Amino acid sequence: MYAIELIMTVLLAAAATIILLEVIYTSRIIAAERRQQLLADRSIGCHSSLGWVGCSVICHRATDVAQIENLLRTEYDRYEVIAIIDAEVYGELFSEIVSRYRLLELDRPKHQSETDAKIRRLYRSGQRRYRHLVLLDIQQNVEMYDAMNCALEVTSYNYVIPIKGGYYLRQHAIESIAILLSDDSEQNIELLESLGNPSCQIFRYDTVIARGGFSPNLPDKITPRNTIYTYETYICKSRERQSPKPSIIKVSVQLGLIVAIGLAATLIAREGDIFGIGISSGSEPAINTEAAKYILIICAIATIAITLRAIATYQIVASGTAKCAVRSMLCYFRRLTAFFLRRKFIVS
Amino acid sequence: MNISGIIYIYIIVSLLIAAAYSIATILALHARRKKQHSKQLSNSYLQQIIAMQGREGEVNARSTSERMALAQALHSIMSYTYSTPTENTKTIARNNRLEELILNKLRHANNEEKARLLNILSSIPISAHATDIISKYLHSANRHIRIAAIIATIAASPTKAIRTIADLPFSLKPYDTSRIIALLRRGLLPIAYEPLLMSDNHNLLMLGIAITHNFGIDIADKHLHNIILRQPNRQIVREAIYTLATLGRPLGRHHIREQLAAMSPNIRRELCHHLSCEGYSLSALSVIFSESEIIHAEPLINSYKRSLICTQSN
Repeated sequence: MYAIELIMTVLLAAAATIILLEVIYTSRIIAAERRQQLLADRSIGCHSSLGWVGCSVICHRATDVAQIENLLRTEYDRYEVIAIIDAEVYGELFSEIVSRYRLLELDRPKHQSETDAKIRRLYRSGQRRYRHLVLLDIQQNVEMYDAMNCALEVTSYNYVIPIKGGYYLRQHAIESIAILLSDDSEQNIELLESLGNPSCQIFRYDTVIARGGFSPNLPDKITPRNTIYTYETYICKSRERQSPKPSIIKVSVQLGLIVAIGLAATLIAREGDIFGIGISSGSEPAINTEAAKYILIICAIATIAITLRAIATYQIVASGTAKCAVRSMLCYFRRLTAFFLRRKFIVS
Repeated sequence: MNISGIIYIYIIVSLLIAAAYSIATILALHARRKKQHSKQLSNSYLQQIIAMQGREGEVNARSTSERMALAQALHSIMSYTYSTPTENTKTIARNNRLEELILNKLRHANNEEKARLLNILSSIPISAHATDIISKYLHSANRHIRIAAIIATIAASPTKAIRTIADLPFSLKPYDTSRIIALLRRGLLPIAYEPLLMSDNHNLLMLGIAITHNFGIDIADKHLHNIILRQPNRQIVREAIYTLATLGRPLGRHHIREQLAAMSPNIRRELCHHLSCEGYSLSALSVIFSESEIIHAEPLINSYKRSLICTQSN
């Protein structure tokens, strides 16, 4: 029993810590989301460059045309999308993109660097409405970080946003980023890290070049005082855009379960005389105290699960991202481990 | 207290937190449904108002939510159109008492909602009484409220716009300036750029440079050169240089090179990159920057310059 009590103590302490951190995290996410939603009303007029901030989205292995379409939806003028696809492996997708956006192959000079040599062909659109799109055909078996370094050769703007296939930009993401970056009049921001779900890192082009290009250890090379963190969410996964949201009925059932567990725990505590104050009607507890303890442990485990799920559900509804509560809960543990481990640059 | 007691207390506290979040979720779902309904209503009012343009007609809203949706519809129209005749807007706003509704809501709203309501007020013709109420928010601690109040004040009294901007106790950020430019694009503000470019006031100068850049006023280059020559503020000098680059002006003059030499290496490299994108050739860049600074510009310039002479792939 002593071992079980010890395990329960540790489990409860860990659960309480996670819940406390998630309450703080959720409140910040929701506050950032409300600010971003208001931006929709005020983004009219943001289409011209803000403080000369420009954003280049480098999309590694775009999965489909819908992703390209989403990335091109932004109206901010200092913006481009550099899509990286291996034409030999993803030939069909490549052809579809070239024909849809009327892309033309550019006549490039002979290879000027080792990185440049990995680019087979470079395409841009002849049509003004697709002027923000650049397509890179990269050689086979080029690693992701190397492929992104190839894209840096043709990046036009001062901030780069690396993302990978299957990720989409949220509405007004680029305008939000431009507003945040342009507020810094001293131009010192080298890394903007979004702590939303999923996380996203935006690097200053100059900084990436000076630190030798993209690599997993890139954030460690950047001075912490030149890094800013935000809880605004800029990207989402493709399936999060289509998944159904929780219904009022499901949440009401959840609330009912909460009340039921609470009543059950109170009854067990009373009948098992948990607090040892003789509150039962007879001289002895109605339920064996040991049995009451085990039932309470089961209730505690159920409580942990339902509390984390309740916070996750609220986060999903209030932040407007359509993902399931289980995946949101798994993110809790990922965030906790990220707190203790050195931060890495992992493309979302 | 024994472990069972601790477990029990943990259960109750956690369940209270879970219950609070569940109730908050239900309220959020309800609010979302209300918002969707309000958006549909606003779209329907939008269509009615557009159909009314150039003709006599009425748009009436009865309940508070309908009036709010109507106000939102008016705001959308005013934001997306240029020189919209305001007669219909004034009639609709007066008949439905929109100013009164928004001022009432403003009193009890939270920060984000206050900013949103002030934005809507910038699109509705308002009385002098409303302007006095809005002026209280010009000194708000919340930046979004402050800026929304400035926009609403300027929209209500366009002739006092310069005075309002000049008297601000804080510096406008680029986003704030872009929102003022948005009012200019709507044809609301009678502002001339020249007095702004000759002003000593930081906010007016930045606004003048922003107007020059946004509207491509290339005859303003002599003012920009004067700013670069005389301004001690590095931020303003940088804005002026970037604006000259956008206008495609040569940047090899002595005073520009002097100012650039005093800037940090980061800013110099960034400017070099920016000029490459703006179409400046390598020879033009080599006059202003060193060889080590323009080394990364070459592949970019080649990809862009070459795009002027591109081949169709078969």
